[in-house]
Amino acid sequence: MSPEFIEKVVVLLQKHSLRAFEFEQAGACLSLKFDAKANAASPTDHLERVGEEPCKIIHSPSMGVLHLAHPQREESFVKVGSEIKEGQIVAFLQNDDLLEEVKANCSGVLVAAIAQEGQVIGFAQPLFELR
Amino acid sequence: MNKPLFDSVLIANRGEIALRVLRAARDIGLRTIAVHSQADAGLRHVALADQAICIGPAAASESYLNSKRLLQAAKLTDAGAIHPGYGFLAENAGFAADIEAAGLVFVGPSSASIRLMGDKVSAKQAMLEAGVPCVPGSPGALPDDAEQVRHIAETCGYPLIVKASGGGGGRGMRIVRTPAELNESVAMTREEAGRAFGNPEVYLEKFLEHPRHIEIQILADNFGNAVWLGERDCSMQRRHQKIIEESPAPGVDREAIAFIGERCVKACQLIGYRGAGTFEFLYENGEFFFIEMNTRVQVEHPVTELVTGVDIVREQLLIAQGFPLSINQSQVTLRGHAVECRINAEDPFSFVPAPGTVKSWLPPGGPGIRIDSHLYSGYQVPPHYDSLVAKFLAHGATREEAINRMTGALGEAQLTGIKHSIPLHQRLMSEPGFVQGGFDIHHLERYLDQDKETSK
Repeated sequence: MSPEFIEKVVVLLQKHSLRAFEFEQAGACLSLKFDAKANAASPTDHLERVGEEPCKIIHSPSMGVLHLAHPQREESFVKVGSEIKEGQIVAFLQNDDLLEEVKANCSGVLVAAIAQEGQVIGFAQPLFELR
Repeated sequence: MNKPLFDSVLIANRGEIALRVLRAARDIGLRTIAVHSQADAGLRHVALADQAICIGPAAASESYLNSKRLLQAAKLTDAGAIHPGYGFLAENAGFAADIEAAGLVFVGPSSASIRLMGDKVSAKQAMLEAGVPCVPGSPGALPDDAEQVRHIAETCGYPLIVKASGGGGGRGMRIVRTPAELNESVAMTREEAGRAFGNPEVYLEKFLEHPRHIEIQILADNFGNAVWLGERDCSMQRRHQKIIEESPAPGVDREAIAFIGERCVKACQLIGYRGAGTFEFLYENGEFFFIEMNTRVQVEHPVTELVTGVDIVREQLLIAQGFPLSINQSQVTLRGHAVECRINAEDPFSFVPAPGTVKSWLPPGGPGIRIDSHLYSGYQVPPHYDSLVAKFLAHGATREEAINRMTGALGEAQLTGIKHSIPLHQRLMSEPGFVQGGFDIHHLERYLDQDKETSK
């Protein structure tokens, strides 16, 4: 895994506005994550957040089937009592083969998972409650 | 009987029509799926549906007009079909094509039919081939030669209207009343069109001074069967928005209507049309002129349901499931008279939209009354969409009885908390022009102007 290769991947991710990338090969693992703020997807995203109350609920960013754990891993991203940091991945939404990350838009301690594993989730549906 | 093509339907709309579709779907045992925007979580049909999912923010472009999100919702909820209602994506050929490509059923005609009838030129061509009369006019852009233009004008007859091919919305047109004005009018419209639209092409059409709006409802299945379900007179309009509709059309020769209805059926068979549809005509001096086809269910469809007894939305769903029409033409008869008043959340006389929270809603009832509405006490009318909140329908043995029943229903209804157009309809029910029937499409605007004058 050469520095040139990593550089190429970074350029590709930026070009397609992707926020995260994981790659495993021959025992080496590459995990890239962009800072959500530095890589802000659109100006409206930002506006919507400004209008919101100080968040204690993590809402779904879009539609999909909810996965509380990565399909290839056993344990959930977060559990009741977990310390959550803003920007942290808390779940996935699945549409066909596509997995979309759900990230915390605030920090706090998880007090309840409102939605269930495997549930069909709508836009802006409450998923987790933080304290 | 073959297996139906689907057993669940996603309703890609909101308000009263979403509720109407839900009821029809429920009646034939379909699983119902409601999709809604963030502003519409409180809609009545969302509460009644077997499954509901929020698809996006309030803006229609991010929800009801977003084909990608609608299809995503259909996949997630395992919907077998999508009913588009009216408005939004109901006449969008691309949306229908996307649904077809996804292997789902679009409750409506094929995307090819929508495309064909959505284009004014190709629609007119198809209608002429089926023998449906159209507004006489030049086949395309007018030629440069003045003598040829004169000949085309003579064939159409005066008065004429010269229109810019690139124009629209009332701009780039000129009325020509005598042959002497023709050359100058064509030249001036050309010059203006060139300047305003960058396209100097103009065409001409016969100008109708006092037309009525009369439309024919049709249903067609996948097996070449088609029926016409009588007509509706929708001449009570303001700024091209229908306000009151009725069936049958008062004072129009039944044979003339039957002739047009049969041509519409023929046109459906010719273009391989499937589903519900409406052929819209202007009617003047005993003649019908085709203006356009709506390839979907219309707001005013219940008027036809009351006089024919045919459930149009149920038929739409059955046709889409792959069943043949449940009726044939000989079974279609018009019984009595029906009137519909559209109730909007708006100031009844300034027509300014008036969203807000419904404090109380007590719908009227009784013999011959049908209310199609998603309202309930406490419902919030959002500002983002069309202001239609209820359709009042009255059916009677005669037109007079229908109007009487409507007058009673309008007076009985209680709707507080929002401004609405019930007071306007109460006045129109006793307005002499309406009571007499057979008024033209400019009648309401004339009446409102007069009203403004006298109240000064």
